[in-house]
Amino acid sequence: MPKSDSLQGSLDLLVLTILSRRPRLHGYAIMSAIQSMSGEVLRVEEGSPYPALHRMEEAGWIHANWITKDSGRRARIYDLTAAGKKQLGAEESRWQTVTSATNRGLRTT
Amino acid sequence: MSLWSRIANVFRGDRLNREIDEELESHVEAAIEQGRDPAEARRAFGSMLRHREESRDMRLIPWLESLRADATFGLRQLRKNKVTSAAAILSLAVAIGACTSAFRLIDALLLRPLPVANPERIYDLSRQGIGPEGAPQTFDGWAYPDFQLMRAAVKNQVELIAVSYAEPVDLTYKSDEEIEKAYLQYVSGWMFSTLGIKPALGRVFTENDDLKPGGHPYAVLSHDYWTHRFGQDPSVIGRTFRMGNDLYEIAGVAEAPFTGTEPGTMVDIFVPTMMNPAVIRKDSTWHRTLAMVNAGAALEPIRQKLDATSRAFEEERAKGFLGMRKEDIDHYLNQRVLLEPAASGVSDLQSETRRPLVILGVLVALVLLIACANVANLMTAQASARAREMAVRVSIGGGRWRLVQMVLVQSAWLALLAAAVGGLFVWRSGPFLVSMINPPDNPARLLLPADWRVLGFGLVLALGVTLLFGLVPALRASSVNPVTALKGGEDPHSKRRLMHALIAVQVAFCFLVLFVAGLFVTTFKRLNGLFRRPASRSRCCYKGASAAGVLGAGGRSSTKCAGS
Repeated sequence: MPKSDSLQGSLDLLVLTILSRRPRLHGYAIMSAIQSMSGEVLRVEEGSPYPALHRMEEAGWIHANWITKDSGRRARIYDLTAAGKKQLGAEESRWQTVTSATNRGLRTT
Repeated sequence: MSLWSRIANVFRGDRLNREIDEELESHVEAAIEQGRDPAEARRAFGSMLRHREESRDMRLIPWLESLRADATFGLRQLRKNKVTSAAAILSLAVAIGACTSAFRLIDALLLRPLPVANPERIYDLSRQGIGPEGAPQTFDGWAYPDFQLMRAAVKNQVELIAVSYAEPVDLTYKSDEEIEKAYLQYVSGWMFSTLGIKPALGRVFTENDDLKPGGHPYAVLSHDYWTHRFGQDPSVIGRTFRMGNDLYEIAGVAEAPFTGTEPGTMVDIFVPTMMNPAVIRKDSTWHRTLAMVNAGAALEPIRQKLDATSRAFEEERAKGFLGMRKEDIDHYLNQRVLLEPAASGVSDLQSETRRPLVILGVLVALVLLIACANVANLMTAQASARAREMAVRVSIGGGRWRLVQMVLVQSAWLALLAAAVGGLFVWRSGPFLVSMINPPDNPARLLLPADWRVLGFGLVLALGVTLLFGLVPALRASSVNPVTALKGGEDPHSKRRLMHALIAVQVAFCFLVLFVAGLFVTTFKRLNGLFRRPASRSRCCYKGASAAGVLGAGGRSSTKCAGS
């Protein structure tokens, strides 16, 4: 998977952030949101968030529901759970710590 | 979603696949709805199959999933080769059944702790020294006055309990025309509280029921006796029975499953030691002494104290020994008091059958090994027939351990099915085995519970057996070289070499089993001879016959008490 390693940590954070702002999104909407938020930088295969979504679902951070769209097709939509909100806070602060440490390192060398 | 849902997903894999596919498909459809080119959308999405596999692994437990798949496949393989499988299962079932039966017996008689509080702190007091014939001997019978002195001497660290050798007595609940037999044991009144045994009905004895010689004509029934003799009738309390010239009143029923401290004898009736006529005699050793040691107390100082007390008692008594050689008296006085762990109780049956039971254990273990070699051979033959299948699996990326697991799971099926069949065998054979070690006139009654201990043993055995007969074929199968196998097989002799080796091992084991079985039968015959002696052990002299010497090896020699 190209770029996925560097993305792994941030993908969870991005998905959780997106869901905290706009509940009830399906996979495609989440993917589009990631791309529009990050522009070209985080360009990955469009299918790669799905394993991550399923992993977070198993962890209990997000909750999925099947809905029937107007077109008659079924879609799976995701919501943030209480545990997910907590996780978002934790991921955020972890991200802040890592980036500020990295920034400090870049400045001193 | 939780661990549970992941386990559940393992067993609904197809539905899970469909669900994931539908979601991934809906993604592409959403992209097309947005006006994107279908081909471009699919390309941007990446490999549908890979995303599905990854998602799937997230939503179930991959190792459990592979295990489930192997279990299904293994069972199908067994069904495909019905005759081979049946042969393997049957031969293993006999072996596993025999092993578990032997374990059940050994466990019930020798290993299982008594159903009392803190069995690990119970010790049996015995004396070791040189007997009148100059041979070393150990004897665990005591005279009650000696017991009383010892009990007082170690009062703070140990509670000593006197329990007589349980034996059948004649008694009647009605008239002399209706005499019946019951197993009776004289026990210290405080035994019940010391061992933490509560009454199921009425009351059990206390210290106050065991004070005055002949003054406490009360009895406590065991729960088992209450059940099979009285059908758990609560009105037994207060009923009387006559034993000899004494009339006893039933005071209560001890809670199940306690039936005395002698594995092999289930005591029906407990009466206080004070009711035994020998209780005041210094020259009659008619009871065992069990010690319940306080938690944390050091054994050796206790032993020394007991030793000194007992020696003082015997020295006093030895003044009255007339006409005995000085040497014999010295031997008698120089006996050493021993404290031996007795968590699983003490009985003659234990010491008499320990050796034959160990031989039996070795015997059935050998039978199991033979069966394993047998089945390993069958499995190897099957595996070579499947060399091509294995080669294909390796070529398409089946990892070595994955293949080992696959073959082992199939072996585990064999072992588990065999264990199930063997379980039936165990269930039926337990009482039969007990009747085999029984003296005919004095039937041993042994609690033979088939509980988690036996079940656990059977399962561990099945798994062990799986590794024993399955690992080699599994490793061989997985180490197949795809190129040669697909070209038409490797060195045709290599498989046969292993097979010949296994057959050789099998034959060797067969000889060994035959040999040990011969020893076993001899031992058994002599033991039966010993058992047919009239049992009169409540007297002073108690001959603890052991199987020692039967096989030419030493051991606890027969014992008897001196100085009487």
